[in-house]
Amino acid sequence: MSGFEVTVYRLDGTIEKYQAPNQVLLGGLNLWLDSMFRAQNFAFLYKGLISATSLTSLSSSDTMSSHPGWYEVPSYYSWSYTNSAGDLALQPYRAEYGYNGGGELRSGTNTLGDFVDFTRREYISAPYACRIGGLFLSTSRTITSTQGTLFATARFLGNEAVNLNVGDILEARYITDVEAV
Amino acid sequence: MIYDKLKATGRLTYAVYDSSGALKLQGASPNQVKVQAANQYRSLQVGLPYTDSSISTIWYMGLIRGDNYTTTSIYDRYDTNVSTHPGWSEVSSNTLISTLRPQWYRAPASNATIAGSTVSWTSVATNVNFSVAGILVMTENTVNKTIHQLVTFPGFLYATGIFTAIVTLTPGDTLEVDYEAYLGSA
Repeated sequence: MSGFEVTVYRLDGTIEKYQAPNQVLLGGLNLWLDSMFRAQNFAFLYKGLISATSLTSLSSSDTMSSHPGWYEVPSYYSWSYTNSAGDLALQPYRAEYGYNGGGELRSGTNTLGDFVDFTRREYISAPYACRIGGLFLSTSRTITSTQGTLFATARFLGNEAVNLNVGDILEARYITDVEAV
Repeated sequence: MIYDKLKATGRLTYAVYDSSGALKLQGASPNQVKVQAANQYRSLQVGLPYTDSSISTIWYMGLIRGDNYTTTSIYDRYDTNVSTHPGWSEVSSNTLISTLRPQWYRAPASNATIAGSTVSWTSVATNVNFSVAGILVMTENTVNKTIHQLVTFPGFLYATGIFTAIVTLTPGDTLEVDYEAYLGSA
């Protein structure tokens, strides 16, 4: 599957797993191509939470400034670097995805540039209970900001809603693949 | 629009004109994006540059010889560290007016597509006929020069595209190629 694999670690020790298939949007595809062929720096991507409340649909025409079928969870925290020394702390930002992000880099490219496997896990928690319908990737770090490029959206399988209670930790692993044909 | 796996694809259109400018033939064919290019996409997404340097800002096209062409592979590479493309070789510069691969200028991506300038080659008027099987797209401009230091030359072979039939260029002929790269679920 290409998309998000989510694990929720509850305070009581239970662990729940969810999947949210990926939908890469046109802005994301154009960003990717420009990075490849026009040396545009690929902006860092950030993982955000889609609220299950009022979530009706994700659209292929959604953008950061216009996504009428959903809105973002208004407040949450993610593990991010706090300084150049690499210290990590919970911060009120979308979770940074990528090489410089606060998550765990599972693998990467070898010295010849051969792809091995990128599977990053970012960690998110919330200051109060919320219900999550899915996740998104954006080039903007600020929660509820409508700036930047909406790279991808993903809704939990079966339109499931996931409760994130105070103290729970949500681990979001994003996987995407590009096939050469 | 749920993607299980994004596909990097592309298309080329080509035409041959004689020395008077008359159209001799034209065609279109798909391309073959290399595994190295797919790796590059995935590296970019997580903020990693390709290998240990930035991607070249300049892209070029080369010609694949028709006389000894057998096949292309998604695993083809065109650098010295792992230079392997056993099914084809490149047209050498002594049959062309220019000794450099012509540059391909790209327009901003739109609708998940990168398109760019028309690239052309003109055969040397005093030379004999030669055949062309297709084109290659890569980030190095010297014909038949392999990229011997990835650190210095962070280029790579993005794709090859094979014409629907071997094209024979006679002296004075001009071959024109337009290339488009796609990213999507196609």
